[in-house]
Amino acid sequence: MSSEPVVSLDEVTVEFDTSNSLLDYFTGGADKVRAVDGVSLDLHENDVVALIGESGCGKSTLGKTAIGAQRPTSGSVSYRGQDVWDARDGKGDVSIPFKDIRRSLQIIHQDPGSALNPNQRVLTSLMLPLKKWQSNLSHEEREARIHTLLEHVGMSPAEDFVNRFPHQLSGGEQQRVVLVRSLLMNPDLILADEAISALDVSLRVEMMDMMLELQDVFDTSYLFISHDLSNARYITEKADGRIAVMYLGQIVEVGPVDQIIENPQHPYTQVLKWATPDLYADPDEEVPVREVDIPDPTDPPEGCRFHTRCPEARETCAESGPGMYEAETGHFSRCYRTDDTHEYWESDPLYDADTVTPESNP
Amino acid sequence: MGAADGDTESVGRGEGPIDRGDPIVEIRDLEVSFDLSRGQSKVVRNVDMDLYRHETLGVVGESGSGKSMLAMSMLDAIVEPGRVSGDVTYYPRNGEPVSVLDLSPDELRKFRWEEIAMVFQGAMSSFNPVTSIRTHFRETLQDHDYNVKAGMERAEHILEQLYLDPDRVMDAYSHELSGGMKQRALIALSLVLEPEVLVLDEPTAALDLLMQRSIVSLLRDIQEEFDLTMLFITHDLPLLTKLADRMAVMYAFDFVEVADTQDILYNASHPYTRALLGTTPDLDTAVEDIQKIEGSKPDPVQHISGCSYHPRCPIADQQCSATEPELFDVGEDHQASCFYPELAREEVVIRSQPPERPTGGVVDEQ
Repeated sequence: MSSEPVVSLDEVTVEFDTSNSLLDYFTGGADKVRAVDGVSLDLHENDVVALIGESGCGKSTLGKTAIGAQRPTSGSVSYRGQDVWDARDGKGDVSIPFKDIRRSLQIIHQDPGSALNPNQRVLTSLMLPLKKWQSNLSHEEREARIHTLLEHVGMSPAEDFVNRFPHQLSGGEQQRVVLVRSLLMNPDLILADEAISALDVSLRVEMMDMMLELQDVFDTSYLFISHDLSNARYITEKADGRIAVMYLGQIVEVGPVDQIIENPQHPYTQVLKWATPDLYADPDEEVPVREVDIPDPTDPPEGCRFHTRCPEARETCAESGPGMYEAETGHFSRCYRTDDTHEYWESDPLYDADTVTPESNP
Repeated sequence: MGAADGDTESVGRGEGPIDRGDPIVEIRDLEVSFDLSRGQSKVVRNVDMDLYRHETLGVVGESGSGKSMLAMSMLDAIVEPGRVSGDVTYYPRNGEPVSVLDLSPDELRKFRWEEIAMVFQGAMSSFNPVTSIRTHFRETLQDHDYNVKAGMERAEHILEQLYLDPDRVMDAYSHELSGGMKQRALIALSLVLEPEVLVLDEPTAALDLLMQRSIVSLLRDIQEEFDLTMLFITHDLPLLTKLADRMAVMYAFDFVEVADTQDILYNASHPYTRALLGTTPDLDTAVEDIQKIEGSKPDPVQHISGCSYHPRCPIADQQCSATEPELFDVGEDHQASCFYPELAREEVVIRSQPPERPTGGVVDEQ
């Protein structure tokens, strides 16, 4: 891995107002949601990082912040050493213009059907970015490039596909067109926000393989957002990447994929592992959290954010939130349990050992 | 087609015995079609299915395989311009069998929810946004002439079973609940009239994995307590294996394999089932062992001659492209629509499968 990260997030916080009623406006009682709270993360050349967590944990917001599509409330996002928002505002010496940064950081969404203009043929959709960013190419050169790429993602013969409208493509084909469109920009980083979640099970593995194959060709990095640990594990393991686990705006565990899967430190990561059933493993009935519902993100719990659901919570956890502890090289966990000598181990359990189980059947 | 008509009794995951001689719903020759400008689109083709009393039958299939249409037809809920033919027979605990597709609108209104209830994927849109959850429960009870007071008590009990605080949820409006809470409230609502059968169509698909897994655990408790028969439809194979007693694999608008869950996992006999098992990412499987399924799924307008899977099947031969295989018995209570089940088991290797079937389960003859 090269020394300088492609994208570096430093103590990034993103807040949103939740004032959706007029009353809030007058009383000033609008709540703020901290979708992302003090996250630092470096993405390197040819890196694959999977960001996982439950819906509402802030993973999409963090992803958008990483590609410069969402301005952080505080903290900084830099692209190859250039602060993205300084470049946008023209503050200080701008070494890389904002439009180059924008071009280098691309996104693929979950629903390819709505990411493509329904009234444009595939060729038109793919021509537009090339026209805008590589205006020196002739029409024929652009077309040739698009054909090569389409064949590369398995849409061959390309002549058959370029004149189709999006509705004439299957979901998998649409997603490939979207991937090709973002690759035409020669991006350094692609944010794949639940990009395979809407695809059929039988197509997911193929799509992930294709993304990795194209990574080799185009030298790009992926920030792969998913709620599904098994997909996140597949793509990161093949690329020798990392997994970052988010909970209520914070990264609670991050590290090389093997360590996260084999030796998860944070109880929340362990819960996510439980929630990812293996085909052949025996089902373990007990729900390993004390609350199945996520706390209100506008009012996250004091102390460790997970302590209200954590089966291992002790009094220390309710009092103050843990920082990041290093479990193994490059593997960090935001949990006192990672530190063998922490006073946590002396403190009293917050709740009975029982997880919440409904009253036994009559 | 060879529906199991043996009278073997086995114990499912729940405690209640599943009587294989006692179907609660019987589907015969079911066809659902839509007329499109480019031809007739047949989305369910000649399906036979038995749902046994007290079992959980899992129907798994990819999107567009016809599984939702199958569920809807159990309640005669296919909307125009869809057309249904065939027989759906419901056998109540006491009384005469009911031919569901022949019910009058009034009878159907009573039949749905009281006998067979259904939970859809879109819990988000199943509640009226301007009435409280309590009103939904009360009106459902009133409209079906149930005792409201007893019904509301039952509703609160069910909500508690689903880890919901009845006081909070009953007074809430749907937008005040999270997706997972709404979905659980909807499950509670579907049970308030004490139906015999609960049909769940991708009830967890829009939810987080943790919530999905929790709901599946809760459903098993609920099934036991309320003596339910469940039909659970999903594309999520690993999740289904944690809930279903039996599984039916759908491909191209018909079942290709039906068997006990353990037999599907360890003795799958249709090449598609085997390919599907092999492509399912699993945390315990080495990434190199996760396989792809070649080819693409069929168009409902197209009619594929012979076996619908033959264009993608690695062991297909001339017979497969010429003749349509029926569901053959390939083991005890195990059917697959393949001419070469033994060859499929040998040739279509599932690399992620553990070499040994865990002991303690039913071992069936190979």
